[in-house]
Amino acid sequence: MIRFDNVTFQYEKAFSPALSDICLEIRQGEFVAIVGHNGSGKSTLAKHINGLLLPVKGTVSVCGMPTSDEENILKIRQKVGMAFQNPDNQLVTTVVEEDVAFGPENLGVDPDEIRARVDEALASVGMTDYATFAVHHLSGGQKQRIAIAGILALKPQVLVLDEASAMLDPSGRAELLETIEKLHREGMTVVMVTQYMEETTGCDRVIVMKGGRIVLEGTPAEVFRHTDILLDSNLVPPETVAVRDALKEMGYALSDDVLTANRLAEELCPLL
Amino acid sequence: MRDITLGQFVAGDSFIHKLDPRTKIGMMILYIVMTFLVKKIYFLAIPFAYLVIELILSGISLRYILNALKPIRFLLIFMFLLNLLFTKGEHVWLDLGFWQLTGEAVLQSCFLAVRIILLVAGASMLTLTTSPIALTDGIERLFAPLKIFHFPAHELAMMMTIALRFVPTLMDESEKIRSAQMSRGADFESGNVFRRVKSMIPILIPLFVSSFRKADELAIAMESRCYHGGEGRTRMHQLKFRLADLLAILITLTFVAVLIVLLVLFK
Repeated sequence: MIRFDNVTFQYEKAFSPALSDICLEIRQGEFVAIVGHNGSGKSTLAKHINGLLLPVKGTVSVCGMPTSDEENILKIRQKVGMAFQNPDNQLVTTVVEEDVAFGPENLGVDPDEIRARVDEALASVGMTDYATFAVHHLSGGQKQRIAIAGILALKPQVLVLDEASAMLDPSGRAELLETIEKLHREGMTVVMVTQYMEETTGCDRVIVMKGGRIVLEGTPAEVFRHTDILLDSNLVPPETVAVRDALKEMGYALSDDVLTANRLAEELCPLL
Repeated sequence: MRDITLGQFVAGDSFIHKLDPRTKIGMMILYIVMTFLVKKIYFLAIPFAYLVIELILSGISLRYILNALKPIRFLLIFMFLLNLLFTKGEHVWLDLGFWQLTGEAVLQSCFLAVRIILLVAGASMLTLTTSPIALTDGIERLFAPLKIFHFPAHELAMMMTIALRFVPTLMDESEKIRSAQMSRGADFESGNVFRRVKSMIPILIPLFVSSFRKADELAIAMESRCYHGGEGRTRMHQLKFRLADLLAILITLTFVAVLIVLLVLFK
């Protein structure tokens, strides 16, 4: 669905490339997390998926369409919706439903069809009751859900979240993650860029980046086996994994796919 | 600070509220034309009657109109006195030797004051009964035909939409910056006017910097949502020109016609 072929990117006036020789394929229906410390190139990578940035070398293609072709760009942006970090800086209009309508309005969709899409998008993020609210009265988590509704109204196939949870409080973050997981269950391909390792435990695949390169890739269970690489990339594994590793060192037989507190409890109980 | 109302819109369900924003803009323009056509104070009764009818139909309390007039009270007094002092006339009411109070001066001063009051009150009727969003929409549609002369109607409306959207956000932000600067020992409350204005700089500069960052991020977000200018754009809320709109325009035109007839007759 999304293909990166030997992608290299360097910002103007930068001394080193932000991405070097990235090869990556994201399949339909996958839930991929891209993790990395500040400056690892994870956001740069995300911005390549919908052509906000174009590779200096190599190609990025979405459903077979290269992002470098100007003619594809609207089609690509309709297929790949993108949510950003600051909830305040991505909502365009004052009223919730008008903001959700912004995307389809840009595509020139018929007014009745826009209405239907807006209602559907608001329902799927659970914000139907807030349709006529002013956006500045909403909490951070609610604003992010509206931002996602605005993307859903474009009927995308891929949802890219560029650190969308970074500015939210814990409850807002949980709210957002729940929404994303629901959308994924309904068939959405999700690419989530994050610094928070505990958000990645429910993913299909975790990609760890450092210095513009992919240093580790695999299922959460596989990735969290390499605590050394994570720490070397300035990433902190989830607390559950730390506890699991500590217990393992003390001689308890726990499996590698223990990633959540519930799972840990399940495996520990028989040992007591 | 968060609950500040944008503009002065008073939500309502009246005949006037339900009119198409384009109709209301048109009505206001005709009303302004009326007040400017008049050169004698008693003819101002026509636009005044129009305003009173609009006010009654809209169900807006007179308090809001008076509030709208408050900021111009000094201007009004100033204009009134200036005209009183410098208008020459024949009917001398009071002679102080170096200056005469004439009947013409009193009439002229009152005329100008009433005209300004009517203008401001009429304009505020538009903003009191039309939400900023509807107003923006109306402006965009109304100016759309000017696109052939490369008038940026869509861009103008989009700028207004975004400006309205960010007013509360920037207010919040300036409050935060103010607190942050105060916690570093900045003093905003003492000193003379100049000192106080100068003390705003530590608020304004960070606010500007953050506005540019916001603008940049918003532009990226808009692009990601397929924004590519006004071309080929549709709108969810369609503006509808209904029978009521036609009626309102016809009534307004009748007032204009009556006024013109009166003006010609009593020249």
